[in-house]
Amino acid sequence: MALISQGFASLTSSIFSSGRAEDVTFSLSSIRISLPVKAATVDIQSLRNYNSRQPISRLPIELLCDIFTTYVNDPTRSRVDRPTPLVSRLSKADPTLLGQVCSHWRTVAIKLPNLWTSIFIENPVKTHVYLTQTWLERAAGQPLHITLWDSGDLRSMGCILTVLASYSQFWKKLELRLPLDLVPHFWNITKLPRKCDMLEALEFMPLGAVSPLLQQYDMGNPGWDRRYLRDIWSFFYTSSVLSDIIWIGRFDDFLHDKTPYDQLQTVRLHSNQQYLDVQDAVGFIARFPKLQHLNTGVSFTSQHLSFKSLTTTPFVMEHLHTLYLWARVSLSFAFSHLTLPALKDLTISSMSGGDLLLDHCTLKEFFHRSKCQLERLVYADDKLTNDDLNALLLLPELQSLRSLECTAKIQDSTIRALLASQLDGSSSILPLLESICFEACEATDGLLSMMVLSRKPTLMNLDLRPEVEFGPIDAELLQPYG
Amino acid sequence: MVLLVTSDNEQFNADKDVVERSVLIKNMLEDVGESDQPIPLPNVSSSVLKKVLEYCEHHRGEPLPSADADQSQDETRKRTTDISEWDQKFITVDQEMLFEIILAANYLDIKSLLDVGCKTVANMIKGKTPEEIRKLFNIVNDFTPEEEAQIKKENEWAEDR
Repeated sequence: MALISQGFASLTSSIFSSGRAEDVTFSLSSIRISLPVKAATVDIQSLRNYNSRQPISRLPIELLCDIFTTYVNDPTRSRVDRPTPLVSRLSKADPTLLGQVCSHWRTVAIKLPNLWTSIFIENPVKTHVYLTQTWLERAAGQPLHITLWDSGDLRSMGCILTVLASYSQFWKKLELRLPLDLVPHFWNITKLPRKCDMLEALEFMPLGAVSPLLQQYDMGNPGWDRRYLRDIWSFFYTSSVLSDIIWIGRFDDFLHDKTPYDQLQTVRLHSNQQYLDVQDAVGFIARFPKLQHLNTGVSFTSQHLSFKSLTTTPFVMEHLHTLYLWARVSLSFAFSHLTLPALKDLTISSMSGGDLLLDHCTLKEFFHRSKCQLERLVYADDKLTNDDLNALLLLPELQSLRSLECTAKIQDSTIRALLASQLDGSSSILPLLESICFEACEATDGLLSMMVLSRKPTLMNLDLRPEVEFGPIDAELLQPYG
Repeated sequence: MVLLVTSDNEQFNADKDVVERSVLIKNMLEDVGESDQPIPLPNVSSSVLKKVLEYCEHHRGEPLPSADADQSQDETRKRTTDISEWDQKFITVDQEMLFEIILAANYLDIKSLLDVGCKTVANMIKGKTPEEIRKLFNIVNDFTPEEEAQIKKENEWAEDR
């Protein structure tokens, strides 16, 4: 044994001095396996002594923690470090690899909870169950941001759901794309006495519900019970801080007597099976006094829903700053009943033809009544005329606009209206405009580029698409803008 | 002007508004009031202080993060690994100097320089495997058999692929 130890000492010293550390590790590690425990300990100690002499080891633990946290939280990361099963939601970085560098880094990484609190799991398989458990243990009771996407294999996903649910009291943000086959399993889990007290934001999408598949599923599975979804929502509603929801499914699954209307601030609803009619839409909005952000569809009739507004006069939604309505019918009724003083971001989008979404008078009265300062307008209605658009762009409530998007055909009169009249590039209308997206331009050659150049340097982002193709002047002058 | 003395006994004269980017020095100056006494910096060598002063000189006059800045502001600042072109060029030094700058920024309490250093190291790790990281920092695999077994289990997913 003494000989072996001496041999170790000389091998360690000679190879370390040669600077070929990787070769050393490999050689020593191979030897280590076949040696008794005591010798192996000596070996590891030598390696650790070597590591402790390297420049990076001078950093104290709190600075190494800062570096690890920066590494995991970097939102600018554009690619995954390596093909990996669980990654940080924000950056797609995998903190497990930090714990696989050396023993010191492993100790620091494992004991740093904020590396493990943002978990992104996609297409899970069996081995992900262990990893999920490991991440959750290392998160050590810190608030969790969990994303579980796509089905992978159902058995593994079911196991992961069970593991995740055992930490439900730490959920802060949850994004769940749940295959319908697993809804009963998830329902069983949520029936157990547990809560999700910290849950603030939820995106819940039973796979299949976004298409008519859910109806087919109803028919093909007679035992399927819609109460599952309602009960699961009741479980989510045990959180008294839940304020943001994205729901891909039917209105009547998530709206019931447990719905905390008074606390919801962001509501995004997507379904192609159920829409609100325009009267219901107004009554629906009125139910959420703290609503800040709404995204929903409006169509001809509501199915089995009744939120009819009892009021005939406009009512004020003080906090609503972002409104996204996609509609098949005229929205005039809605806009003649709403007053939105905080509105900053408005999207009106027409689905598959239909009538003109809004008449100019209603919209003008809406803005005058609201006295809002709009910063972004997306007007996706092909039937909007240039005359109506031009009149809209003159409204005082729109002079704070920074971004304008239109799908209607844009012609000379609108481009002329937007032409800056001042030498310094400032304009009498929409002086703060930084971004324009016109999906169909049909203007006299040269006019478009003149307008763009006249609004420099404020106007920075352009997405101008010609109805056919740009003339030679616009083609050349607009080329730098892509 | 303020006189600074490094660990290897070199003296540096610098403008007050330059050295006051260091919260440590700023507090020391406030404590001693108007005085010609040199400020000893026993944890910073002359070669490192030279670099730190170069940084402070370049960023002279820029707003300092306020002492009562809330945690979310601090987190937002740290979150991006974007580093300005000048800072990037400034921090392009050998590893020995890089870590010395980080340690000095930490000791002198210069938050923005500490961020630049930490982001630089985080960027160096980006996209690398554990083996590549070991090679980069000249460190070796020193795991115990128990740790090796845990790591093997963490990597079992790779066999599923």
